[in-house]
Amino acid sequence: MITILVPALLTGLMLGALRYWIGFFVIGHALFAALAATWIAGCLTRSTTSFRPWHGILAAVVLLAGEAVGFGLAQPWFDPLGWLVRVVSGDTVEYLFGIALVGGTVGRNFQMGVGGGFWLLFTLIDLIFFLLFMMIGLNTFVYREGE
Amino acid sequence: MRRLLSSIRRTSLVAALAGLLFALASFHPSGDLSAARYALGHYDDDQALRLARRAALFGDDDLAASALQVAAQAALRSGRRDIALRYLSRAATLDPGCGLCLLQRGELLSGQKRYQEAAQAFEQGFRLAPALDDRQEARFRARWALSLLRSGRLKEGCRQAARAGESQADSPLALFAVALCSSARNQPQRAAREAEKGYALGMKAPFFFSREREEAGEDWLRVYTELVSGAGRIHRRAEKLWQQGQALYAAGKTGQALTLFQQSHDLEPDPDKGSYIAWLMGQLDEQPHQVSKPHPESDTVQKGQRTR
Repeated sequence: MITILVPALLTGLMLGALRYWIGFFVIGHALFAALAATWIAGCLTRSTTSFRPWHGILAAVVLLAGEAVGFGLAQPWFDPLGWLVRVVSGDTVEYLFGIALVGGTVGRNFQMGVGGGFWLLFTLIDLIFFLLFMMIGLNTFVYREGE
Repeated sequence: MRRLLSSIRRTSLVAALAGLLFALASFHPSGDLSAARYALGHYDDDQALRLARRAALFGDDDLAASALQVAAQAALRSGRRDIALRYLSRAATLDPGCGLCLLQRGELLSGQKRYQEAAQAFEQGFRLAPALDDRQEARFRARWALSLLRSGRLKEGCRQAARAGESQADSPLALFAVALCSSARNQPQRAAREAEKGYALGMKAPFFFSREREEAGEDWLRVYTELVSGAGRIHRRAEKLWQQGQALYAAGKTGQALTLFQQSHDLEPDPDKGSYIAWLMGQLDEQPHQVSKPHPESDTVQKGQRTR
């Protein structure tokens, strides 16, 4: 179990730092996070047969917690929850790839990033894809490898 | 199947690394600095900090120093003076000719009561800083004066306080610096006069007496009280208000008189005055137009004498 959680945590830490310094790539983030965590877990649990589906969910939770911690460590002072409150309430924004690059009204409005309700919407979309890729990853890299 | 899996792995790894490299290569320090300034101007301190720090990380020394100044302002506005001080120290190291970095650093050190270091930073900063506008000059010189005064360098402190006052005559900080200087020179009346002027201007200046925005906001109130009460001015002011109140009362303007009595009591709390005011208020509530006059013997302060 530890062999799954540790890589999930490390991946989360790295993702959090990248998300702070570079920005948020909706769906790309989900793809990378879910597949990276499950792939590393698959590499480490090839010989074990004790892996269960709920371990995958736990790994996902650990990864997301790790991401929050990684984000906080990249901040000048550790405040990931404070940032989360501020971004949800629209006091700050998060840079989103794609959205920031388009032109026209959308580009002008979201050039610096997205906050508030739109941020929640994009995060939800990303979360749905994260769960999807997590299932794909577990099925591809963990079960198949162990069989 | 195994071949497919390994090709997925390879492709994922290459794609992730390529994406990372692309993202890193697309950083433009000067663009980040402009964006950080924009974010700072729009009160988004999180973004300002992130972009300024990124610009400082990837830019050359001059740009990094400018970016760190922006980051310091954002940190300061978020209430993190320690982080702001760290950024300004780094900015001063990266660009030794940045006088403004040193002056801002001096201001923060002064706020942390590290007066000797602050005085040193101000001295270097004024030597290097380009021409400052009057407000900035008055602010930094006043802080320098206070740092010098508090580290026992009276003569230099008074000189800087006077220069701060010359730069901006209506700066409350400069007036408080002059007041402290006069007090240290054993001129209590002048100190009280300057403190009163500083207090009046400070009340008009936003956040001057606020601890949240100004490190020593509340301290200035204490300094004001000490200087003014030391000279006996509060007592005289309270007495004057009380006398004016009595005159109004005698003229039948009880409501206005009561206001002045209360102001007098607020300035110089006195239990007798308090009980007299309470009695007068009670009378007003009972018979708004038939309140008897105060005791005829009450020439200055009507201590405890209720006119029944």
